[in-house]
Amino acid sequence: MFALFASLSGALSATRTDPADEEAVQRLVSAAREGDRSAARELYSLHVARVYRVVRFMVQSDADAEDIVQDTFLKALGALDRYARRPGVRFISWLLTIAVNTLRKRAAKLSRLESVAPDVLEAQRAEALGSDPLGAELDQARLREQLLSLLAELPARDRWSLTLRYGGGLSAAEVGAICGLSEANVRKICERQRRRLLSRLEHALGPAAFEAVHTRSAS
Amino acid sequence: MSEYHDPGERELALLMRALDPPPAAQERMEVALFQALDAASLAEPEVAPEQSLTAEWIELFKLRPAANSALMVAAAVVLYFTTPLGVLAGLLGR
Repeated sequence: MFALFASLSGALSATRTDPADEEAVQRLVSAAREGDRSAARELYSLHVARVYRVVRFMVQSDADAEDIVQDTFLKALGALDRYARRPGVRFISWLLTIAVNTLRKRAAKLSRLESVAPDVLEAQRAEALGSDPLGAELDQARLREQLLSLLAELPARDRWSLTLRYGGGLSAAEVGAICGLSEANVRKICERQRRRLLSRLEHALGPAAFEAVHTRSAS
Repeated sequence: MSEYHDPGERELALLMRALDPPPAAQERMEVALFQALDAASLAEPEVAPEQSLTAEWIELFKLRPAANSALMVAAAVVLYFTTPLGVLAGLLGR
């Protein structure tokens, strides 16, 4: 199980740093608006993981997620002229609003994630075993499986709140603005469902794995 | 930047990164995205910049300066006698 967190740790270091500096993001937005393609690429690289994370929790397959993420960025980068910075609302919040709207519009066409299809999980397991005999990838697939299936059990409103808050890295106020909920309500939902989710994940993955996560979180 | 004050919040945010796109998928999406953007920008028709009314008048004047000068003088005279200032000047002149 420690292999899982070692692989997670590797994935984290490989992931681009989250755009903590909103001013830098705004400079990239201005440059991309002027037609600077490298700035547009930088915006994509900075935000793709968070958008993908949110979208992936809402659809059944990686292919669907890729399709929607691509559509989201296509719309966003094509509409930068219409993007207006508002106080307290970051660029990622605007981007995730587009992602959520894209998801909602295409929900009818896609099979929504009510439970992870067993054949999909089996394929993931087989692929992981084949490519990684040490089992790190298999552990990661187990974590993905657990997260997806546990989140799928939640009501849509709670699922949106959790994925936007912890997958997308939005504040409770930003999540509330997207979901049409008050900030206090989002906090309450996240608090309740987070505890429940972590407890069930700990039960499913084992306490040793969670100790490792605590160590990582504290560092 | 959203801050997680509770260790449980950081923990869940960290766990959720298990669903990050693999680098190959990220690259695949990037290539497809920018190809689509390039195609869209090529398909956009050339739109002429919008001209102001003044610019259009200047353009017309440049085309036929002699005829347009006479027209402009006539327009100025009509405007002078139909505006309050012109009417007032006419009344005072009587």
